[in-house]
Amino acid sequence: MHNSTWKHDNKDLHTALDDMAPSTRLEQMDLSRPLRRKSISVTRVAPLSGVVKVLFSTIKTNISTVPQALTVGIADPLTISNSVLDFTFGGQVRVRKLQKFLDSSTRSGQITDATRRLAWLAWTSLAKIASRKLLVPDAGIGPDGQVLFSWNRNDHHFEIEIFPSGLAEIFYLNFETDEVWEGEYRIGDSFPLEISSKLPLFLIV
Amino acid sequence: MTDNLSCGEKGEPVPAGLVVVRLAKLSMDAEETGRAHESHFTLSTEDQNSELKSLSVWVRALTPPHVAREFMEAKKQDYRLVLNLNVDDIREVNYLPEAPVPPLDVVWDPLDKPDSDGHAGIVGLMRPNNAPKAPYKNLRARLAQLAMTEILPLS
Repeated sequence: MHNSTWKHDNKDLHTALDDMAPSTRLEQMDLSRPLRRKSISVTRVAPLSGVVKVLFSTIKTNISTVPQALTVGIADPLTISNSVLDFTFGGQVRVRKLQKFLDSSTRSGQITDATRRLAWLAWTSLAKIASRKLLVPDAGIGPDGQVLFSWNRNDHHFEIEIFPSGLAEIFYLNFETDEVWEGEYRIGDSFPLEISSKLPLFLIV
Repeated sequence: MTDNLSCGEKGEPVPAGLVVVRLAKLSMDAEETGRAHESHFTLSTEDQNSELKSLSVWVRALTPPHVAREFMEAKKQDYRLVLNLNVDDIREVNYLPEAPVPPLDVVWDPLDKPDSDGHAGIVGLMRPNNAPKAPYKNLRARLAQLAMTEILPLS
């Protein structure tokens, strides 16, 4: 095990890894033996409390074939798509689309970088409690810099609106029966318990 | 009907049967699904502080989208999404019976600018202080369902 700081800028894990020169990466991670770029493949990524554990296995190498586990401290865990790799391919595409949408909304000044982080944390937290099976939502930007994620399936509508203050409003509506439910929470805190009865309506089938 | 149409007094109901358009920025899936998004029907702080407390729309017969877009000035390139709604449909949007909200309406909101004859507003989306939020989110979601979208070219 080795600890290091991983620098990156708004890139998902695959891209960040690709962009890192192998020699630099290895030096930063203080591996005892150099490995060529082609000899490395990431086989598993497990997000854990802001730390991403990267398990490397070596292939096409005459050095070693024993997988090596590294624990890498993430300078900014929220900008890493720590849910990307756990989704199906189609899900990954949409997760990246969501990430790009938030990034472009930040660049255009519609939302602040802080709000982008809050929104991403809200999404990843929801995806996590839904065991990574939650459909990736549509997203829109409100007039006062809030981010609104929405899910629609049949008569069911669910939304979470993330405000720059860090507060979030949750809303469920059944268009047919007029059943509604609303809740509030602060991003980073626990979700209202009632949410567990709504998320199953929007899981990948 | 539209031959004699002209902008009414501020707050006066827009005649039935007309289509109004709201200009919005593209949501994530708008180009792919053609679906409006709830965020497009959110009152801004500026809207909330305005006299009518209304959501800005344009009567299409008087101010078509490409003309309305010019009023966005420097930001007009961002406003590519056109949300078309029939005035009658807006007025028929259901809301929770127990909610203390008036039904939605579309009223004239004249601007003192050339070519702005079609400016109007959807009223009824403003939540009074301490009123529950759910009925207003309900209205917003239903308006998003109603809207027929089209996308304007970049320029």
